[in-house]
Amino acid sequence: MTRDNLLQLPPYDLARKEKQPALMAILKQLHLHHRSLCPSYREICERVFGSHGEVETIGDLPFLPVSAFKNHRLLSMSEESVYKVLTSSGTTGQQVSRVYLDTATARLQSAALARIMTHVLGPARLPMLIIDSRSVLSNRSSYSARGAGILGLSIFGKDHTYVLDEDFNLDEKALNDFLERHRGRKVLIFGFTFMIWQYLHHARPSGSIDLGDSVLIHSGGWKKLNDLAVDNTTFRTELQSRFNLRSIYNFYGMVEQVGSVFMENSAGSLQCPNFADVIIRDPEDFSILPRGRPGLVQVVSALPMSYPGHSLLTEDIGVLEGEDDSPEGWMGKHFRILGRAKKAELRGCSDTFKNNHQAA
Amino acid sequence: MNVRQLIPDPVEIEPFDLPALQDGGYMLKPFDERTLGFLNDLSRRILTDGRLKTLPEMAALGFWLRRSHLKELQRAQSHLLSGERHLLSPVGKVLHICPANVDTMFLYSLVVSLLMGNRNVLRVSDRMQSDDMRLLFGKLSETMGQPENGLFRGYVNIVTYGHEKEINDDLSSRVNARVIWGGDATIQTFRSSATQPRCRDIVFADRVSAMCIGSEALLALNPEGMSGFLKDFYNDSYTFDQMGCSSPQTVFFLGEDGSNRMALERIESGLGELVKSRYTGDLFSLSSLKLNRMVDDALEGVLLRQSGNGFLRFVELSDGTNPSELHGCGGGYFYWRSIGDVDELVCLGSSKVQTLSCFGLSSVQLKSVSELAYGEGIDRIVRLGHALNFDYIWDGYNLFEQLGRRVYVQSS
Repeated sequence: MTRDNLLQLPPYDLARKEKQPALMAILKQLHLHHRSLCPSYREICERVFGSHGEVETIGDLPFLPVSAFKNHRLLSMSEESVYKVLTSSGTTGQQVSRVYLDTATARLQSAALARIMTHVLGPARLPMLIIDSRSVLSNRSSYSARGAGILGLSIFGKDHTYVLDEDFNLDEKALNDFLERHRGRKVLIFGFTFMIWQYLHHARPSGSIDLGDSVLIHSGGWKKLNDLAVDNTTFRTELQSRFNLRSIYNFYGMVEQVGSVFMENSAGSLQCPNFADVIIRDPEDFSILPRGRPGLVQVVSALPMSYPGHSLLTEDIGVLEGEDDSPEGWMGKHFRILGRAKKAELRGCSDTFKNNHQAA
Repeated sequence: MNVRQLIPDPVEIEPFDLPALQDGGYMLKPFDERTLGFLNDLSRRILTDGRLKTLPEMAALGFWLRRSHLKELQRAQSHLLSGERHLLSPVGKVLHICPANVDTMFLYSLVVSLLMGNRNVLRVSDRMQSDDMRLLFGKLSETMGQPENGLFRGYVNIVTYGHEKEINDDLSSRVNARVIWGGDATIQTFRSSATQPRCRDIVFADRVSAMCIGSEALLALNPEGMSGFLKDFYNDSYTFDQMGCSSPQTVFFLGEDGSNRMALERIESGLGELVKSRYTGDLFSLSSLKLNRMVDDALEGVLLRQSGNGFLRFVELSDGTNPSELHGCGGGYFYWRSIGDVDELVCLGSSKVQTLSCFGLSSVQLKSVSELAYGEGIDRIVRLGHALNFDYIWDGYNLFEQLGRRVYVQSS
């Protein structure tokens, strides 16, 4: 099965028996592709992983830490082929990830994202409500993260309506007008998890708001909400009780593997699509952990051609919950994110007057 | 432009109002009986505290402060304390700048300064979040609160403030000596604050430390000897998360290459359990941190190959790498190299290198090592297990001499 075949299938159709050989064939080829085109990838494979040639199984793939894209310029194409550089979010002074795309990889990413989104939203573009301020697109400092996320999702919507003003207050008129225009039709609501909680859930509008016919898609991580002791279950039940929102999907993804997102299934577990996979690794010796044992999350994707991002170790802690056994017949592994490894800089004698920048 | 005084009393105060900066004269002679009593009292409070006495670095400080030990130090300084041609005086007012991490080293230089009779202002970082250090300051405060110790209110003031340059400037202009811990960046910051022309700076720059292990001696250890070795290795390396200036970053295995590799394997297989049972660092973070660093080191050509696990990584250095400036990510991340002869340690003869902890070296080999230190090189050569033990000879200084002033008195 070619990569294109894999991408054309409904994203959660393949059970392990068909998926693993198909995905592995692509990954083996990707591994050799990056080894030959990205000298840094080759160095890491050989020196850090002692891996000197082909790999046989998905578990044998070397994994780059996501931070490698912060500290190093990693690409598997000529400089002239660089079409777009994606950067991760980061506060001033913090290193950001840089991911280099050529047109082919960018196209694969769009196709993959569309495959997943249309599976949830249906083929037609839906009226789209964005729980953010339009200013996020012009504000350079946060543009790369939230702005890019919003633009990426915008192609699945129409009549894009931002419902927060510049100070992140709920613009009730814009919201009500939007709901009025599309009364009785399914709409798409998109926002970052924290923004939805802080500025939609916490808003005190004059009347009640019924978003009952919408699909809410959100992403961006749980760190801030976990600090407020809000977990996914609370998030879902609260939004349902306040806005009658029944259809809520979180997804997990990262700038280092755009397109290859892990969408929440109806049981609240993150589902691997055909063209991606997840491995949970023991932090002690990086061995592969079975279902139920928390470890560091390795994400694997068939998409990255122009940069060696097909196998990455994140700093997220997750747990595998099952495979090929999700509701609605969704196939593939599914997992949950439990948190993130604490920011692990160890401080030495020599840091009295260094400013420490922390992520906001 | 206030600072927050923590000791003696918690108050907001203008720097020039600090008790230690007043012109009240100098009542305490070097090694004054009252100072010994004060420190002995503090020692007792540390060593009887349920929590502090269980922490190795605090217990070590407690023992160091006992009167009997201070008396030993006094005897060791007899050449300084009295001479035919001089008498000894404090230097005056001393500003101490302390690192933000949990290192206890700055307390020793404070004590040396106090023993010499100086009046001290100690600046701690407002980011200092160590509960144990707060507990220790509490003990100091209690000690100072005793009626017989009232005098010391003018001799030890602990303050905290942010990064305000005006305060750095102000304090710097009022003192006769500055003791600057916190490495290159802090030294740079304080060098931009003018001092009186005769002000002395005693600076502790960023340093790197190493370890040298005689492989034959290691392989000859019986199980009991091995467990002692591992304990020493652990204490030198994992205390302060391997981030102290004296924490070894590179391990040299000295011997035949085959023995060296066997010695490494022995350490790897033995150390894991010890680290697992004792070290409190978060494994998820440590493991990520080490993988990140391995990738950086591989791409910078430093790492030839690696072994170990999340608790301990051993990174074999490529031939071209000079280990004298290498500092790993801490938490059990070791560079290592197999060497056949002590002469190969010549790469450590740099002003960056502070401590070499040694195990299993013959006296001839140790003599060669100490000869290597002649010049710009190594400042401390210690037995394995003693890398972090404070000595008044530190970073090339005799701190007693640095914090005292000899007054020449012509004999009649």
